[in-house]
Amino acid sequence: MTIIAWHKSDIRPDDALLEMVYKQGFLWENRGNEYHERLRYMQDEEAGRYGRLLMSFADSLVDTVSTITAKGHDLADAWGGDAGKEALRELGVLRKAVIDLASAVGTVGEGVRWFGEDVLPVYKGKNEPIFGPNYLFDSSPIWDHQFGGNNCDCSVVYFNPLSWTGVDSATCIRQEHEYYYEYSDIWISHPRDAVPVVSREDFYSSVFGTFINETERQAIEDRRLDPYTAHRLADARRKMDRVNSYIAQLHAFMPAEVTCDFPDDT
Amino acid sequence: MEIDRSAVRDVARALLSDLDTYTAQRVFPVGEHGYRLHTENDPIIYESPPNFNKFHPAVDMVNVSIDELPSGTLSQFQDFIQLSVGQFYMSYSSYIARLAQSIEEYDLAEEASALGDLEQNGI
Repeated sequence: MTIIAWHKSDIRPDDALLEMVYKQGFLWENRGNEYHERLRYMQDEEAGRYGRLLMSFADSLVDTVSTITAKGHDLADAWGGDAGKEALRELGVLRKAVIDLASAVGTVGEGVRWFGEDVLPVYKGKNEPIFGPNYLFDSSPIWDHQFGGNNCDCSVVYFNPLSWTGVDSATCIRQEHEYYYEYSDIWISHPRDAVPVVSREDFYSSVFGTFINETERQAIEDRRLDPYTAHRLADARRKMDRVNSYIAQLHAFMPAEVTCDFPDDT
Repeated sequence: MEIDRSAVRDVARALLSDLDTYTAQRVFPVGEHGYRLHTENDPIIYESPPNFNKFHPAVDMVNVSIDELPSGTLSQFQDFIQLSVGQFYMSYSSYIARLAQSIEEYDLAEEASALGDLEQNGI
C-alpha cells in the first residue's frame, strides 16, 4: 500500500511588525509608504484562478467517484467468488482514496478562490493616489500642533508665484506654516483652514491608534513625522492586519491532514 | 457463481474511458520551479500556487523568494497533489489493466497500462 499524506504546516506570524521603513524617492512615486506596495505583491487573480482550477479538478474526481461506485455495482453483479470479492475490495480502496483526494483538493480550492476573488480585491489598489501625496486636496488630517507652536493668526495670504512648481509652497506671509519632517524627509506647508485640523489625541484614540507605535508617536510630537505619512502608514497597517486575519481564516479552513491511501500498482 | 466476462469487460471499458478524460490534463511543460505550467490550449491544474508573501506583518502561505524554492503551506499542498494525482493515475490504470487481464482482454489491459505510464505522459 502506498499512503500519500499532507500535513498542514503552522502559519508563521511575522514579528517584524511596525518597522518604519520609508521609501525615499520622488514625490510622484508614492514615497513614504511601503505597505501599499507590499499589498500589491499579493496575487489576487492568480489565487482566484488557482482556486478555480483546483475546484474543477475536484469536480472531475467526484465524477470519477460516481463512475467507480456505479461500475462497482455492475462488477458485483457480474463477478462472484473470492476473486470477484477481491476485485471489488480493491476498487473500494481506490474509491476511498479518490474521495479523500477530491475532498482535500476541493476544500483548499474553495478557500483559495474565496481569498483571491472575494477578499484580496477589496484591499488591493483602492484609493491609491497616482501622483503621490497631494496635501491640499487630500483628506488626510492636519494636526493642531502644526499651527500651535507660534500661534500664527496672520490673515494675509502670501501669493507664491512659484506655487505651481511645488518648490516653494509657503502660503503664509510669515511662512510659519512650513515644516520640514526629517523622518519622512519632506517639507510641508498648508494654507490655513484648507484642511481640517484634528487633534493628535483623536488620532491616537481612533482605530488607527493601535497601528502607531511609541517611537512614531514621539516623532509626531517632535514634528519629525508628518501627519499625512503617519496617517497613510497606519491605514495601510490596518488593512494589512485585516488581510492577515483573513489569511488565518483561510488557513484554519484547510484540512490539517490529508491521507490518500492508493493501492499499489504492482 | 461464474464470471460474466462481457459485463466485466464493459466495466473495464467504462473505467478506462473515465481515466481517459484526464488525459488532456496530463501533458504539459514544467515551469522553472518544477511546477507544471498551463499552456493556452490546455488549462491545467498544475500551476504554481499564488504568492501571498513579501509583506509585513504576514503569515506564510507561500514562502517564495528569489533564492529559494516555494516552501509555504500552499506550496506543500501543491507538491502533495502532484504526487497523489500521479499515484491516482497509476493505481487507476493498474486496476483496470488487472481487471482486463483477469478476463483475458489483453488489448484492453495494454491500453490501460499505457495510460498509467506517467513518463510517457510527461509526468
